[in-house]
Amino acid sequence: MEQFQNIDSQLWSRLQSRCLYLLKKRYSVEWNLQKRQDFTREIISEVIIKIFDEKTRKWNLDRYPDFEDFILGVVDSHLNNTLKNNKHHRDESEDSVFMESDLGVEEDIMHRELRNEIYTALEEYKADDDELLIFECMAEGITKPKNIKQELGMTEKEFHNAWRRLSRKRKIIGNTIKKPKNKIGYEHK
Amino acid sequence: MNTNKNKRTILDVMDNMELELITKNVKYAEQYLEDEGFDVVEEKKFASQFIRKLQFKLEAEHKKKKYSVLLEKALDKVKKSMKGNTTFRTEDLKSLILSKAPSVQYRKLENWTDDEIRDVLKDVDLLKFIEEADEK
Repeated sequence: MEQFQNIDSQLWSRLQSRCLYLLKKRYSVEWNLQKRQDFTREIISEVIIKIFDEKTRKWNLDRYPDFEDFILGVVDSHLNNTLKNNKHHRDESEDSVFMESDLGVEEDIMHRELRNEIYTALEEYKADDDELLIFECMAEGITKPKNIKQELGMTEKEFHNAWRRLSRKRKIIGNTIKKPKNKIGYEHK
Repeated sequence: MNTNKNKRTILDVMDNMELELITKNVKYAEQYLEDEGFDVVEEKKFASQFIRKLQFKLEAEHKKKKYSVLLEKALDKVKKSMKGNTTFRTEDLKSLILSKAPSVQYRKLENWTDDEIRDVLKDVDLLKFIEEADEK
């Protein structure tokens, strides 16, 4: 019951945006706005009810030392179960683009090609220096926002603004750039 | 330079970072919702109403449960007194109950069922009753 005090509209926004993101990226769902709104509201509501009212989902401290990680886990799991029942399946191809490590050299080449392709596309879409620098950090393996900000000496506000612009371009160029093919030449979505 | 240890492309890295940012940071989350066409104010309103309604429900259930525990405790005091297991004498108990619930018809307490006793106790300030029963 005391954890219920942590449930507020800000947490709701974060859970809802996560839900929405996963619908698109993980499950390739393409519903209209109304349906996405109704669905995400339903998922979050049901998760909160399961935890605090019905108590059918209990917080396992060993598995989730942090309550927020627990609630995120329940959201992901409930989303998956609901969509599975509605015959939407997780895009498993997302989970590993490359085969095992014997592709090391090819992997390097594909990474460089993809990196260049994306960089060129970003420039075409008029990405500014901040966006390109963030992109380069990620290409170099710096994948945490905190570390990127530190690396580039950016304030939170600068990073936020640049990331907003970059992520919008990511949506646009994402569909035009093909993911690398795997060993047997199967192209992933 | 290789991809990261999970063998994902840069696009996957960007997507993972986006997911992390919108999950952990409300500014990014709200921005994402807006970009997707959601009315953030409307969503916050819905969320607040839902949370408030559930809070009332949970508090009411909590009070009901707490009351139920007190009621059983009071009932237990009454029954123990009737069996003579406490120093709380039956006559004192009768006058206590009658003073709290004067509309009750006087008859032998020993013949009352648990539900009848509970019914009388519902009109009584249970906490005070238990305290007074403990004092005697």
